[in-house]
Amino acid sequence: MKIFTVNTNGYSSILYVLRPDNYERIRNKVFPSTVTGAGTENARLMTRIDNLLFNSGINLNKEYEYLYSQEYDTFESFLENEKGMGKHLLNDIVLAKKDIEELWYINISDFDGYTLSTLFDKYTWSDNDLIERINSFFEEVSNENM
Amino acid sequence: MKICNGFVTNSSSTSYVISSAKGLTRDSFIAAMGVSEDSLLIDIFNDLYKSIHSSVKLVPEGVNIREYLVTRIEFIDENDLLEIEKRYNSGEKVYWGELADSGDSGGATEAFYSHESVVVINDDIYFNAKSSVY
Repeated sequence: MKIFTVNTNGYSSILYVLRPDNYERIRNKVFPSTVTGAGTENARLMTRIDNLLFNSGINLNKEYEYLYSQEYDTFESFLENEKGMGKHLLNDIVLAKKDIEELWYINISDFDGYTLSTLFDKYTWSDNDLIERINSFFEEVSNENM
Repeated sequence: MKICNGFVTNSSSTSYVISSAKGLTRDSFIAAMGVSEDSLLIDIFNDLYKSIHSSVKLVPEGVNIREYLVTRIEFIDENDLLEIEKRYNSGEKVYWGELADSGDSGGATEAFYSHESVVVINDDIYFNAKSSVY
C-alpha cells in the first residue's frame, strides 16, 4: 500500500493511493482503533487520517473497467488521457503497484475540508514528510507478511 | 525555521491558552496529546510543541486573568474563561499565544492547527486552541 501526491499549482490536495482489496490488517496495524489514549487529540487526528485513506475516494481501476475500457486499451492510457496524469507520477505508480492493489483518487479538501489537506501538503511545505512517514509504516506492515 | 514555498492566503490564526500545574514541557505536552514516541504522528505533535514553544507567553502572577486574556486574545467563551480563571487562581501557570497559518516555526502543522479548534484537558495540562477565522 502506498500514497502518492501531485503538485497542483504549487499546492497538493490530491492523493493517489494504492490500496489492496484486503487492507484491514494493514489498516488495523497502522491505525489501531485503540491508539494510545483513545479520546485524545492524537486519536482524533489518527481517526481523520484513517477515514481519509480508507473510507474516501474514487476507485480508478473500477472507473476504468466499467466506463473506459472500451475507449482505452490500457489502464495507464486511461490515467494519462482521461485523468491528465503526468508521465513521472504514472511511472512511479506503475512501478509500485502490486496485482492485489487498486488505485484510488482522493481529494482531501472535498472529503475533509481545506485544513487536513494542509497537513499533507509537501509542496507548500517542503520539509513536510507525513506522506513518506505513513508510507514507511505501510511498508513495514506489508513486509511483516512476507 | 520551516520553509514555505507558496503563498498563504486568507490569513488565519488560532489563539491558544495553556494551563499547567507543573509547567509546560515538551514531554508533558506530548503526553497530554496522547502521543507515544513511536506514533505515526509524533512528528506532527513535536512540530506543534515547537510552534507553541516559540510563541508562548507566560501570564504574570497576580493579574486579573479574565481582563488579561480578554484584552489580548480573541477568547470570549465564558466557560473557557471560568476554567482558566479557576486554574490560574489555584496556582497553575497559564500561557497564551497564537498559531499562524504562515507556519513560521511549525510549518504545515502550525498552518493546520491555525484552522483547527482543539480543547485538551488532562490532569496536568489544559490546552485550549480556538480558531478565530474559519
